[in-house]
Amino acid sequence: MKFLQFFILTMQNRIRLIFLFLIFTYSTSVYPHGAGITIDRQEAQVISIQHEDDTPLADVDYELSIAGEEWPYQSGRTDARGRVVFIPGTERRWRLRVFSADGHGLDERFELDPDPLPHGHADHGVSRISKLVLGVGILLSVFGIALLFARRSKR
Amino acid sequence: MHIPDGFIAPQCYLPAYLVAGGFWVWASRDLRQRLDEETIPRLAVITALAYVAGLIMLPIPGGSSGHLVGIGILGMLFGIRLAFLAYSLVLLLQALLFGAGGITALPVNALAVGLVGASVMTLSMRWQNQRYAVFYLTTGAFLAVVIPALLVALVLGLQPAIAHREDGTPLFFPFGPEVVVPAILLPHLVIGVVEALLTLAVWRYAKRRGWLNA
Repeated sequence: MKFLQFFILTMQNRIRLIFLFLIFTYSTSVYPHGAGITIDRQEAQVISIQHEDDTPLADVDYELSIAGEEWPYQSGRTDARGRVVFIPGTERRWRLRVFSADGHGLDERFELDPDPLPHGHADHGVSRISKLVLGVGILLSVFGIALLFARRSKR
Repeated sequence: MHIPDGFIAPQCYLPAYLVAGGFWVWASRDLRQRLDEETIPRLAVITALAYVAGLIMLPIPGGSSGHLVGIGILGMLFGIRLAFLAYSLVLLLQALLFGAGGITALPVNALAVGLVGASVMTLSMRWQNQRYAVFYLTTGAFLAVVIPALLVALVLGLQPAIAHREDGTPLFFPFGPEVVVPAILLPHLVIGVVEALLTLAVWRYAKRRGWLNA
């Protein structure tokens, strides 16, 4: 009889059991708030940003967005070599804005190569010196035309 | 000192285009009378000098870099209106060919550097007296760099307050005036000194040639 009484729950024991149940339930609900990591290999894109004199634009704020989206996909500061590294996934059109406190920076829209092979590519446009000479040429041409008009009006 | 594209909100650059447009019209009036056969080649050479000087980056103590402006020389030799027009052309070419400064930022750059810079220099030349000619000239050339730099810094520093998202994050240039004013102004104090020395050298040459009386 004493043995059976052991299994008969008194009111006090019921309350204790409910309390224990609540504690265990709460501890399992806390678990998902912890952080975990997964390490795998993925294709990343590396953007290098330079000053006009080719020195890296290091440790400046950037904002990388998918073209047309208001909120940035990634933001932070460039590394010591002026680089931004990101994993684009399937998105191809991007906008990169770089802000330096002294007013330098850029706002660049670019499209990624659909070829997944890691071919590096750089902007191989017209060289800086060519643009410089072109600009001087345009200026002198504009003033040359003005000079022609000045001479004609004098006659 | 050039503000690139994407740094200034439309609420700022659209009115700036209206104001700059008005000043471009004002500066272009009677252009034929003011441009003669002697003035045009000089203006061409000095404008080309300002264009090239604005693209050569010079190292500044402290790890930063900057470039000369040339607005002091333009203002000294040609006055406010021609200097403003010539420097606007320089800014347009630098923006189109190099992306140094932007098309949206063009009116702000032109008003701050071209108009205010040339005005400061021209006024210092008008108030110049023979005894302290060099002082007025160098101070004018120095301020023709520093005051526009301060204006550009203030315009940039106002952007977070002008345009931001609902949560307060800036849509355009993200730094406030407390950050951007010293960051822009301090290097330009050095640039202003170099610009003043260059302007002084050109002034001495121009004085010997009689260009200043023209």
